[in-house]
Amino acid sequence: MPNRNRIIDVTNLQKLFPSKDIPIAVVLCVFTLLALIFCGIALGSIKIPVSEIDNILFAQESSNAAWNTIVWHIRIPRTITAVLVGASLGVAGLQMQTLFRNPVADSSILGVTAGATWGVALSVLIGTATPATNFASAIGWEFASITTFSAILGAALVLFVILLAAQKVRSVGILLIIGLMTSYVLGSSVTLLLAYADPENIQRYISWGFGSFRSPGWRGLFWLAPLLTLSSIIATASAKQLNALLFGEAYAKSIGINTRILKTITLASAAICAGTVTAFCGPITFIGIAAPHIARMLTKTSDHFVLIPTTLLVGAIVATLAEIVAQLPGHDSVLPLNAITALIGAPIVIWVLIKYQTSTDSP
Amino acid sequence: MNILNSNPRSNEILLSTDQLEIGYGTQVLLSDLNLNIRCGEIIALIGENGSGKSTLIRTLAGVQPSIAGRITLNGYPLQKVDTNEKAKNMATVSTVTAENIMLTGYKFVSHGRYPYIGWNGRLRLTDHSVISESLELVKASHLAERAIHSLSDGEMQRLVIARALAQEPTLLFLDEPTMFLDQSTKLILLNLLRDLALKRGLAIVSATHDIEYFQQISDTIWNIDSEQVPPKVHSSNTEDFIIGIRDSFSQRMVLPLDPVLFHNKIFIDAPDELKTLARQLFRRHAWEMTEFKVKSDYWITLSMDEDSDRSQIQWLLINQKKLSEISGNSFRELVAAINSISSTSDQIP
Repeated sequence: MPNRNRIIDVTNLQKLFPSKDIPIAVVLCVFTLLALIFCGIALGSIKIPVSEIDNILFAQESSNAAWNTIVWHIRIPRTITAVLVGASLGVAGLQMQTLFRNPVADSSILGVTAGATWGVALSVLIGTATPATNFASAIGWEFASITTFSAILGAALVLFVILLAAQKVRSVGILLIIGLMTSYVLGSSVTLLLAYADPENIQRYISWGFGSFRSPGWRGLFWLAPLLTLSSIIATASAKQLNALLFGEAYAKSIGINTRILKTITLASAAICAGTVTAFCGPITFIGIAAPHIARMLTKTSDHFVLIPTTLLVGAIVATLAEIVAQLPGHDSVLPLNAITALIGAPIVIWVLIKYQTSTDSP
Repeated sequence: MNILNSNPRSNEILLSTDQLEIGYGTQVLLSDLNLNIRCGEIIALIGENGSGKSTLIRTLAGVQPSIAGRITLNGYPLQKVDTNEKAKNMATVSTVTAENIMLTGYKFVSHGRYPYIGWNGRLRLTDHSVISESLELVKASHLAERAIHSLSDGEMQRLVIARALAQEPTLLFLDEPTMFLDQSTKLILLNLLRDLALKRGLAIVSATHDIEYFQQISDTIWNIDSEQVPPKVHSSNTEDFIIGIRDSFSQRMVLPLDPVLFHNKIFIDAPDELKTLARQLFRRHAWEMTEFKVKSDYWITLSMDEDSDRSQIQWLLINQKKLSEISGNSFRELVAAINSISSTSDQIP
């Protein structure tokens, strides 16, 4: 009899805590993202009628061959890139915010973004002088690929340093400072390079820094997609561990989490994400910080089992939206992506956070 | 599977240390520790702030590495025990800041099941029943739906204990569990800890400054003596400890033998029969007595005037535990026991 009572009790409790019930916000996010993906494909500098889009997508034939090329070789890879980059950067930001218990952390905090930037600065500003570019030219890569290659080398270098430090350093606080200091050192060496570089090269370096979802194309996606999917999967699979980390490392250890392994895996996946994105799309800012906050506001929970899927969606939405706006549909000119994400996004995040603070009465 | 419900062999050593040295890096806080924790044993760990109470607890719980020496858990060296396996055997209750963290009480307590569940966090039926049982044990079922950042310190403390119990440990470490609690909640907590130790054989180690409360339930006291160089940990039977303090009354450490420290009150957990007897016994000493009820437990408060003989107070302190121990026995045994420990009074009818 007591057993029976217990079962009744439990089913009641499960009704009270519908862990598997999907919040309405998440459903809304899915539809918003689908709509934005369509807009991303339908809208652009060149006007293509919506009826034609349907033809191009499903029959792969259009009255205008140029339209076909634009949709298949520019807009679709661009939109896929935006979705992947947004989702993975968002979730990497969430990982960093939880790991460092710091609300303004994102994956750039590790210095990996700075590492990639440094690699690009070396190859762009010095030109053929670096071993990386020599090697890349030797195997016949074009400019865009050389940039990517140097960025990956730079990011990998910093990733190696951070992971080495993570093994030696116990406190995540010190790790955070090591990441920041690495960024400063790399940043200042870039400044030195800028001081002596050709104006033409500087221009190329600056426009790379604007960030773009168009540059990878299908060829870039071949590398970008698996790496970003991998980092997102790692993050999703460690939701339980991240939940335990909400209350600090000692707490996580006391409920059976191997924090050493968790730290290494989390840092590696966030760094792979940051490094890959920076290498292919330039230093994309803001999404990593903003997406987790918007997701928290929407779902009103710190539970990573809910927060990670929501952050993936929100990150993808923010990135796709920013890309659509940056294209200035109907105009020839294109705005710098990083300008759009922060310019439109930052006020939204501030508004959201203030509203959310008063509504939950948190200190 | 359920360690809490298994029948523990009492006096079995769960955890022991051998020449243990603890601290941070090269800074040694305590050394030469040879301590034992047995099934069902309640240990109060006392010492000044910064004397190493928390460090000792974290080291024993395997959350912080030791500097030298060995810790053995159920016969295995603790270093070699997997983190997850440690969490199934040992749970720690320490202060948790829930600020800016949005979780329900139930979700929070479910963290205690993490050593038992897979990566996808799916709770099975047994997990749900352990969680709700743990919530009931600390009388916090009503907090299950509440957001943890909106709870008071005392309410949060209960959830932290429920989370620890959900781990189904054989060994429970508490770091100053009574710190933020009011008097009646402290008593509820002490009652709960004693029940867990008595009925389920849970071994409990609690760092505390509230020794006047903990000496009522503890079997053993670990006293960190920071005055000695290097600092020493003295492990002693609670009664011996109190007698020792009485014998060296002028010592630095003043136990709550002074009625003022008690607010002139002593609390005794008393079943009905004992209450009647105690009333007669204590009236003879002209101590004013009030009874009150906290939830389902009866408590007696004794108020003494300042002139009361110190030895009487000490007698009471030393025998409180005996009184509560014999409270489970038959009425006749109870009378005999009270008569035998009451040296000053006549026979009780």
